[in-house]
Amino acid sequence: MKDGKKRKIQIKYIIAAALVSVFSLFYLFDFLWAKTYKVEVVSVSDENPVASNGERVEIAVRVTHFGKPANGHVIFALPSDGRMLAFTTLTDENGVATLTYIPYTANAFLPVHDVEIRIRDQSNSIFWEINAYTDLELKMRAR
Amino acid sequence: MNRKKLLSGVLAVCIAAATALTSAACAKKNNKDSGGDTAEVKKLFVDLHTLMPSASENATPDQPHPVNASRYIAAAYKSLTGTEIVWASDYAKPTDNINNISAWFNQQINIKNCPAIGFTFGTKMQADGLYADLGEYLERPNPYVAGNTRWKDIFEDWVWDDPAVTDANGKIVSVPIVLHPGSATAIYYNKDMFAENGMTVPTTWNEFIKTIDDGKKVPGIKYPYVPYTGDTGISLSSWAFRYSLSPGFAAHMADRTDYDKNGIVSTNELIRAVLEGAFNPNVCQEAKALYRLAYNYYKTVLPGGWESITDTTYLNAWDEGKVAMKNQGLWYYTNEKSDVIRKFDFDLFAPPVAQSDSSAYASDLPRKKLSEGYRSQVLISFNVMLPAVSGNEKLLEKAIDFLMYLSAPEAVTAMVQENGAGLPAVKGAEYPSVYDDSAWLDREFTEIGISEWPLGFIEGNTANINAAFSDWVFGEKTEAEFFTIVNREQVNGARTMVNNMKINTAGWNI
Repeated sequence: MKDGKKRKIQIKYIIAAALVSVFSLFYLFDFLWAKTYKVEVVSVSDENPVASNGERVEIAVRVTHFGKPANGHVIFALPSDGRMLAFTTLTDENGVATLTYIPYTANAFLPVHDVEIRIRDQSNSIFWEINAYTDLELKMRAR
Repeated sequence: MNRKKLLSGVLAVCIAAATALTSAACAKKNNKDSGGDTAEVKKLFVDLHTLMPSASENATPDQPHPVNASRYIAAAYKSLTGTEIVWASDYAKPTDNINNISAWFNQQINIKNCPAIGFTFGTKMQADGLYADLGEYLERPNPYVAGNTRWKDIFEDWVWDDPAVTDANGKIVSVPIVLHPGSATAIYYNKDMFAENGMTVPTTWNEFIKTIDDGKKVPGIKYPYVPYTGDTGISLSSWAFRYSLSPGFAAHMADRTDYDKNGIVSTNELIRAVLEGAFNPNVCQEAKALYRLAYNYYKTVLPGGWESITDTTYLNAWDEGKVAMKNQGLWYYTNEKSDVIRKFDFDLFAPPVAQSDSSAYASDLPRKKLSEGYRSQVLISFNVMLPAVSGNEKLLEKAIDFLMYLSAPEAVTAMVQENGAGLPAVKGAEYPSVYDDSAWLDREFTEIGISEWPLGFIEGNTANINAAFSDWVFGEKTEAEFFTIVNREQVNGARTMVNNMKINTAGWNI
């Protein structure tokens, strides 16, 4: 192989390695940065709700950054069953956002089972989508 | 030919052959396992449209609403009967429009892999002779509903008059499961903007047009009204024409088209009326006035070049508070509630209908709440497909049995509440409570089920009408030319229906 061609390949590898390193650093930064945010459930209107589509569970979550309220953060909630009235909502000046969970209806096809809701802060990342989150488990009961 | 080209050619042939063999093998397998006359039915090939299970059982950020109800129902049915449900979604069944659905069914029929239960927008393929007559089966008891002695009795009473359920010969050819939630769609409006500018919620089409005109004069409003995003072109098949513009005109003609005077104009009566010349716009004042109203809607009401404006443009304008009203499905409600960019409050109202204040040739239609007996139209219903079950009594019986199981109130509740896009067609089933948030079901809706406005009856004829209408709006055809084409295509479509379905025309003035 000619020297010129070898050098070109070497440069390509160096560029690729540099890019991987930069992205890895960004990832590491966001991973650590997410750790500086705290998502916590402040209140739940009913931690033992009836497994019925007609029920509503109000969930208040607070997001803080180094102990201070994070205002205007987008909160995304994803339940393992049932649905949210709104998947995304914003935190207020106290870092608090209120979510509404609508349960599934337990029936002959779908027996009563507990629901886990993962609640993410979608606004804490800078380079990569690495969200701070918390999980809430609702112990469902039969109607 | 160089070696690379030769190799890639051989590879392509091999892949094509493998695909064809796989499809044929699968098709054979489904049909074989569906059982012959003497075999037990081990597998039932089923198409439930949007109610079929999603690929993943788990909710993900990209798919927050997985479809699982039918998965659980099928599992319970297998435990009970030993029959496994094979889903058409595994065979790339489209769910968008009748043209694609029709093409898919024809393809499946050709490879002898037609589902025994299918979704074809009710009766849209009736002229092709694909549907089993379900009348006698609906007279049987449904063993999956306690105390039921007649399957038909579990459904809402009015669904049998729906043209999506009953064909042009008066035969019941589909089993309804989901109804529209009142109106088919809703108008979402910027509540803050309405309040600031003294705009009021319109209840008729004329008031609606005035609200749009008023909106055009308000600085800052870029789009007073954004049409339903599913209506992508100039067409008389649009939701605007079907649900807002035409019902009052069709009702105005009912004294001439409701031949049996039962208060509902059937598909059979529409075919007769077309063949007797009642809908010919060269002589029919209702048709003339309606088509002119539709022309004006596309020509002057919608913003110029609206069909090339992207959804993203509209969505951004809505979020920026530059849209007064937009037409969307009720299924979009959760998405709208999830919009964190929008800074204003919103509400919804039912799409207004053109009535006597729009034209002397349109009737006023009653407005009712669901609690007052509003008759929601059928949204999702299922056919038993003759190409799959013909000559196989056991398979036909199995398809009926599964439909009975599927239509039991508890099963319908599970599917409808999970789906969130409509109301149950079965008495005693529960609706999706997400509608309670906007008190949607407490509102008044205009009764539009008296009569549909006929287009071409056959998809090809309807397509020709829509093409001519589009040409008229774009100035490439005159009004007179359009009127001639619409009449010709309607008559041709009606004749095809009569011939294909062997409709008895005795006593018709044709």
